[in-house]
Amino acid sequence: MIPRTEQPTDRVGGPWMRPAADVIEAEDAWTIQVDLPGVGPQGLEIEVARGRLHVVGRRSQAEHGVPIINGYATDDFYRSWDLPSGLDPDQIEARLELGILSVRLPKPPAMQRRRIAVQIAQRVEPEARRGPP
Amino acid sequence: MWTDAHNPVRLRQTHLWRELNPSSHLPTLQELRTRERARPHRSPVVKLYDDGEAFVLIAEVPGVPRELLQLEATARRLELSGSRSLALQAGERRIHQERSAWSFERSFALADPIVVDQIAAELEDGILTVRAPKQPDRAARRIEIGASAVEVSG
Repeated sequence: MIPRTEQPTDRVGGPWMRPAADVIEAEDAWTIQVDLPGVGPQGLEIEVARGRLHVVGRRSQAEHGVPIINGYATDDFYRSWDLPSGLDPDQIEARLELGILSVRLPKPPAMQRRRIAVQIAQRVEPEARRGPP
Repeated sequence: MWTDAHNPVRLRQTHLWRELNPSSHLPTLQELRTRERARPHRSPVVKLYDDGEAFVLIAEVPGVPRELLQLEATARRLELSGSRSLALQAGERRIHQERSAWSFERSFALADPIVVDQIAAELEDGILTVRAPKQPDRAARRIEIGASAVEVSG
């Protein structure tokens, strides 16, 4: 459940990062892949609200004193995406693997690619096509 | 419940529907800005700490499997290399990309010599943590500061 505050997490006013994400399309689904190293299931909330998918959370890292090299200091993150209409939120699946979050969004049936069989029309005999002179 | 009126990153949002139909329009200014703000790292983000007794190296390596990570050490240097690919399965195509494939090599010079045999490295949830203990005579020691016994009398 996303906290009912203005901030995506309870650290009011704190900075948060916007993790890099890819969108991959397959025949029957889209998959959003987000780099979230160090994030476990307990630090992650995924919610669909008003047609948007929200991914929000924070990670906790052990502190080891003052860093000599500090690449990144932000542990809160947030991203959101609009969802195509007709997508069933109950069908959305998410999993974490090697620090990458994959959210699978099955395409609504109306948006799936479909092959249309071409009907062969009845061949009309040339004599029948000729009208009266 | 999250409401859009309270959404502080509303302007940075990515409109999935538009991303799903890349040929239908030119990128909007908002989308260009979105791409610019996404931070694809060319190599892992790294933190290096000195906690007095050891150097602690923390590298964010999402998507890098254990077998593609190499760590080498000498008394005064840690070298980390590895790679990740963004392979797709058959029938998939990437319609929006901010992440990048990696092939990286980073080297860290250490101010104090370490005990190479006692380095411990662990990979969990895409985070590599390396702890390299310093050689004993180089470890920082906390020195008790003695107080001279001065009696305060009235």
